[in-house]
Order: sequence, then C-alpha cells, then structure tokens
Amino acid sequence: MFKNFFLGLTAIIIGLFLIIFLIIPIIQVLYVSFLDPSGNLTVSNFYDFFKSQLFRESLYNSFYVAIMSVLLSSIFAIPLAYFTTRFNFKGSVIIQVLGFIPLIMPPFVGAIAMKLLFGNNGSINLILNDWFGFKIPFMEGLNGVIFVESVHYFPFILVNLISSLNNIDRSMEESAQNLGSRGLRLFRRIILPLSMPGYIAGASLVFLKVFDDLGTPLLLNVNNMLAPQAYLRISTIGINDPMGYVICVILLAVSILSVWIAKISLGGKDYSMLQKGGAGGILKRDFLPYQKKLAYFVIFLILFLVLSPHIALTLLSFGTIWSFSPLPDDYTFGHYKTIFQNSFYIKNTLIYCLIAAFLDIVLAFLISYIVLRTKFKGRQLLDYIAMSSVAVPGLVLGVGYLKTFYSVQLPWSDKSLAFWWVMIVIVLTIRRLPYALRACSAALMQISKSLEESAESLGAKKITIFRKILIPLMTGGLLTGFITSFSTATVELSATIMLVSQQSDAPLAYAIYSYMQTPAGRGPGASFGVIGVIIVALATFATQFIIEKKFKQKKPQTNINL
Amino acid sequence: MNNIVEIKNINLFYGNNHILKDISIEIKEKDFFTFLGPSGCGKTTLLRLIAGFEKSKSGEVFISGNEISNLNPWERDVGMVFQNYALWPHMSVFKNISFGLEEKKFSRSEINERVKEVLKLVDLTGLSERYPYQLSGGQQQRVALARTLIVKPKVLLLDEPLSNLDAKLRIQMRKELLEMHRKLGITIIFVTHDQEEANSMSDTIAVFDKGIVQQIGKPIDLYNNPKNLFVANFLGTTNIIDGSVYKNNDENYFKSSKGLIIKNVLSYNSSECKILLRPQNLYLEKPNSEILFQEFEAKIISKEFLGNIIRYIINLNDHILILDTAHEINRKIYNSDEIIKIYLDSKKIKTF
Repeated sequence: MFKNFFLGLTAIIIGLFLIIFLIIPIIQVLYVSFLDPSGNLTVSNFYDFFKSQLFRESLYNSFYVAIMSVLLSSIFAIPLAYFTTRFNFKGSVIIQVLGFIPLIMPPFVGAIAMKLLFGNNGSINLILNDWFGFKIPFMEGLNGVIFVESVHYFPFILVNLISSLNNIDRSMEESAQNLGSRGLRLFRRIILPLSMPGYIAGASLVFLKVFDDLGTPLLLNVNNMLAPQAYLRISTIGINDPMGYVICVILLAVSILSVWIAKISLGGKDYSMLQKGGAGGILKRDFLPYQKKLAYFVIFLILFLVLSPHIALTLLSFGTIWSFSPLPDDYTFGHYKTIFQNSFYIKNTLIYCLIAAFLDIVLAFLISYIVLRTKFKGRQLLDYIAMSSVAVPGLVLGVGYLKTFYSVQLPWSDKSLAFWWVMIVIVLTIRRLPYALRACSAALMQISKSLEESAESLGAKKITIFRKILIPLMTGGLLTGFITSFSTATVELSATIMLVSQQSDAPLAYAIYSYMQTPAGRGPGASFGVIGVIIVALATFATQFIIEKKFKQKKPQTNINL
Repeated sequence: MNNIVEIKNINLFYGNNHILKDISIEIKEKDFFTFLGPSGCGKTTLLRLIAGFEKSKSGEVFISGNEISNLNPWERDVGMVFQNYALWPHMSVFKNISFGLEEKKFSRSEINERVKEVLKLVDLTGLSERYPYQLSGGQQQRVALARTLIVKPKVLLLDEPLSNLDAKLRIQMRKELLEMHRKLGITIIFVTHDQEEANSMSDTIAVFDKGIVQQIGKPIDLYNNPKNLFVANFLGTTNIIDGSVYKNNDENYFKSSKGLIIKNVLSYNSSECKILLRPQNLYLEKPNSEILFQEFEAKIISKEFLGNIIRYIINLNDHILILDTAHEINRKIYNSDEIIKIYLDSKKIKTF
C-alpha cells in the first residue's frame, strides 16, 4: 500500500512539473494570440497577420524553404540509401558516417562559415569565377538557408530510408520475381511503396526542423521567415505584442502536423513487423565498373558538402582575416585564447546540460516505470504529455516561458523568474525529455516483468528491485538517454535565446550566436563552435560505444523475455 | 510418366563452403516430392536454385526437358511459396493474388474471374479486401498459395510451408495440401525438416545431409531399407550398437563393444560395424511365431507412456536401448529396476 502511495505521489509531482513547464507556457502562447489590446478574446490578430504583406511573405518563405530543404535533402539522401542497400560495396561505411556527422553540428553553428565557403565571394565561387567565369548563388537569400539546412538535416531522411529498406524482407522482392515481375515495374510496385513510410517519416522530420529553425536564418540575415519574425517582434516590440504569439501558434500548428504525419506514416503500417524470419534487406547486386566510379563520385561529392561546414568552421576559428580569398590570409590561436578568457560560457553549458540530462533520465525512468509497470489511471497521459514536447518548437516554448514567468519575481533579487538560469535548465530538460524517455522505455520494455516478480517473490522491496535489478539491466538505455539528451542540449539555441538576460548566464550556443553576428566576433564564435562540436562528437561516440559494448554484453539478458 | 524436373550434377558454393555437392535428382510429373533433411543440409538452397534465386557453379536444371539454369527467376514458370509467406503488406488479398496475372498482362475480366476461382479453391472467398496483417497465420498461408497457384506454374515449390503454423493447423493444412495436389494434378516440391510431415505427405522423398542426397525413395522403402545410418536415424527412432562381426561355424556373430553377443546376424564384410534395431522390433514377451527369437536379460531404467505405445528405456548389457510396445489394457506394465526378458529376431537387424 505504502509503495503505491509513494509511486502515485511521484506520478502527480511529475504531472504537475509537466503542466507548469510545458502545458501552461503553451496555453499562454495560444491565449495571448487570441487577445486584443483591451484583453478580450478575438481572432482579429490572425486576420491582421494575413493582412500584412511581410507576414504573408514570411509564411510563404518558411514553407518554401522547408519544402525545398526536403527536396534537396532527398537528392542527397536517396542515392546514398540506394547505393548502400542495393549494392555490395565498401563505400557503405562512408555512408554510415555520413549518416551522423552532420547531426553533430546544428546548422546555425556552421552558417557563417558556409557563407565564407559558398557565398558570393566565398572560396568556391572565387575559384569557379577564376576558372570558368561564373558563380553559383548557393548562399543568396533563401538559397543559403535551404542549402545549409539540407547539408545538416538530410541524414534524417537517409537513416530512415535505409532502415526501412533494410527492413524489407528479401522474400518480398523474390516472390515478385517469382511471379514474373522485374526491373522498374518491380521497384514501383513493391520497393517504393514499402520504403515510403521511412521516407515520409524522415522527410517530415526535416520539414519540421527547418520550419522551426531560428538561428540559421537569423545569422544568414534572412529575416522574412516566420521564426525570425516571431523572435524579432518579441525581442524588439515586447512580450505583449500579439503578432509574435500568432506566429508561434502557426509554428506550433505546423510542427504538430508534421510530427503527426511522421507518426502515422511509421505507426499505422509498420511493414517490417509483419514478416518474421528470412533475410532482411532488398536483393544486393555488384556494381558494374562505371557504376562504381559514379557511386564513389557521388559519395565523395556529398561527403565534401557534409564536411564543408566543419572544415570552414575550423578554418574560421584559426583564421585571422578571411574575405575575398579562398582561404584565410593567416592563422592564429588568438581566437581560442579569447574563448578561454570567456570560458564561463562553456562552464555554463556543461552545468546546465549535465543537470538537464540528469533530470531527464530520472524523469524518464520514473515515467516509463509508471507507464509500463503500474496500473494508475491516466498513466498513458503522462507519457503523451512528456513525448509531446517533440512537437513544440523551441522558440514557442521559450516565448511561453517568458510570458508565463516574466511577472514572477525572484524573492531574493529584483530579477524576474523567467531570467533565472534555472529556467534555462528546465527548458532544456523539457525539450530533451522525449529523447531520454524513448531510450528508457525501450530499455524497460526489454526487461521481462518476471525478473522483477521473481525478486519480489524472494522478498525484495521495490527500492531494492530498482537498485539491484532494473537499474543495472537498464544501464545501457539510461546512459544512451543521458548522453543523447546532454549532447543535443549543448547546442540548443531557439528556446534558450529567449531566456538569456545577461552574458554571465549564457550558454555556449548563445555565445556562438552572438559572437557570429559581428565580423570581428566570427573567429572566437567559430572557436566556440568547434568546442561545441567536439563536446557533441565525443558524446555521440560515447553513445555509439556504449550501445555496442553494452548491448553485446546485455544480449543474453534481454533475450529472457522472448 | 515423364520427368518434369531434372537436376543434374549441381555443385553450389557460398564463398568456400561447398553447399550442394554433385546433386542429381529426377522428379516425375504430378509427384509430391519432398526434400527432407536437418537445417543447413542444403535442401532450401536447392529449392531456391530451382526458382532461380541461387546460382550453381556447375550442373544443370531442366524443366519439361528445357534447360533453365541460366534463366532469370521471372522467366522460369515455377511457383514458389515462401516460408514466411512473403505477402506484400501494402496490398490487399485481392491485389496480392492478382499480381502475377497483372504482370503477365491478363485482361481485367479474366483476372477477376481467376482470382474468384482460386479464392474458392483455398477457401478464402469474401476476404479479398482484407490486408495481410488482418489475417491469421493459416489464412496468410492460403493467400500465399493462391497467389502462386493462380499463374498455373509447371512446378509448385513449397519452402517449409507448415513450419509457422501451430500443431493443430499444421495437421489440417497437410490434408488440404494433399487434397489440392490431387485436385490440381500439379507437381509439388516440398521442403521440410519434419520426418513425420515428409512420410505422411510425400510420394517420393530425397533425404539430404551436408549438401549430399543420401537416398531417394518412397517413404516406406526409406524406412525399411535405409542406405546408411543417417537415413535410418532421420526416419524414425533407432537403437544403434557399435561392435564387430565374426564368423564361427559358418554363422555370423555380432559382438558389441560391451560384450553383447547376437547370433545369426546378416553378414557384413567389414569386421567393425554398427547394427540398427528399431524399438518396435524388441519384444517383452516372446511372440507366437515360427521364427527363432533370441532371448536376453535386461533391466528397465524408465518408462514413458505415449498413449498408443509405452516406451521403455532399458539397459541391455550396459547398452541403453529404447523398446516400444503397443499399449493394451490389461497388459503388464513394468517399472524401473525390474529385470525383464527381451526377445529379438536377428533377421530384422540391419548392419552397417
């Protein structure tokens, strides 16, 4: 009885936490968007939104950029997915690397550096102009946003597409051949429809990420898009201007829609689950010699594109002056010196993200336990709410926090609660909770309930079972969740940018953003970027390592529930 | 009857592994022909080779007298039903079944006609708009069969089709498959590792082990006259005793490694040998017959009641043997540690 009471209390506390820091801020945003200046409910704000030329243009641009980014990402991803699943060849290793390198760095970090490489007076165009006498407007206006976002986000499509192609049982194709089908017709009737769910899931993820991204268009000075407009309205006109909220509502609606599309495209018909046994993946062939050359050419071209933000960022962080020339004029360690004098940014980030990741994993463990192992009414709701923050753009949450907590004053100082550094930690916790939750519930689902029951029948108490059975068995999942939450939080900008009131509280991502805005700050900004990338890269490798090590070790145990 | 499938001297490798070793098989028209063997013996590989999904290093496959070894899978006119059924999850039952005819550019009206026919044949009328995930395992299997049968292939290849069904359904599907075989008069090649399945369904069985065809024949012949120990062991339960044969006064004696002596065994030209005794050829009571039975003393180790038979595990001269006896009411039942007499007819012993 007592332990149920305790778990129930925990569930209620978690529920309250989610309501205060996720639900209420969103409701605030929704509410304000429907308020007129005198405080009555109205829809006239939306009418005003569509009346404004600038906003209509921004709405159009946001859709245009997001759709074009999906297309360009598809152009990068589809050939790579095709090569690695259809052919026997060694380049698959490079493709696997391509599948996660871009995700180490969020697009805004490399945006300026990409401009120096691909811009009108960037290295590539200078060379093109010298050799062939023409330039390609990679980075002109919206092009720049599309290009940068695609280079960073195409792995979402790549990875999903590859995994759905690999999930197609070989017999799917063989049975079609057996019945007289082949070639393009077979592709169109069997492979294409079966790989569609993975593609759509990846594509809607790209769409969502691009549509919500704030840092990249801001840094590339493209302000006529929705996210920058919302930010500019609220940061310049003030937190009571309804237009910012209207835009936030639109961002939120589009986000939810694309998450929903991703979910139904994967969830409704999980083709891979249907077939048991047999070999996975479509039939593999050998390349013809010319095909092999072509494949490697394409792979190296994409590899170059993918690495270009990293290369350019590194160059920028060591370069003295870099303009109108293919490479920086000279190199220096000066920028790194600057960042070590301002190392509090890094310290802040480490503190914020470690706390946030720790909170995430504790919350995630408790939520997944409550959802999977208890019979409380509404426990599923807890899971839905926690997961729903995936669909909430960072900017919207940041604005919501500002609106909700601005008027609350800290008792020990004259500062607003919204600007207390703890709020940054909480917003990061909420934003990254879904990652940790997914890892935790996957790990817990792998553990047969009978393992706990047998301990219980031997007289173990709940707390002992947690400590001696569940947590050791879930270590892999917990650590993966922790590191994923941590590493993605380190480069989070869109929510925190709203909540930073003084430099000394600012995290790394904010430093990168603010340094990058002035030409003189680019060097140090890039150095901060490099540091951020290194932190995320280390964490990513650690996850990879742990998954491989742990899951090899844990295999016999996870098989128990089969 | 003509041979519809002829397999000649097939050798197949995966890398350096010799998977199929010089395999030659002839299959008569309308035969229910089974490839039987343990997993990894090459039976499924051979089936896939016939369907065109594997390439052999040497050898040929003929169907109706035409060589098909170099044809693509889609040109072969053999129908294969996959172990996991391989139904396309994005297509309805109707779409799955009509696929083959659509690929062969049949007219809409004929397709509808034939789908209706074949649905009736496999007893799925009314389910044509369902999707595979809405069907039970047995129903999925029927769809897979229908999808293949509708194109009227020359040979029907079935790759362990019953292995994913539960025991009861398996027995029922056996009957239905046999009925269908009779009704359609189609040649079937059936792959299984289950000897009972093979015995009860097949006209002819080819027993595979380690990529070699060990023996081909009718189920009863294989059981009665196994060519080697593997076949004997794989088809039914056996007792095998190591020993040697020696001659004394023009009689063959078998002396086991533990000193058991059996008179009058059929001769064997090598002195080191193994003898094979079926459990039902050991008797607890001396049968009434003219034959001269040899008598031995043994000890019961344990017994298993299997319904129609009682299976005793006995110790005969330190050889642990299985003895089956038909169970009848009022028949004496022996218990562990009882000393008993057993009888055997040396003519029923096979020597290898």
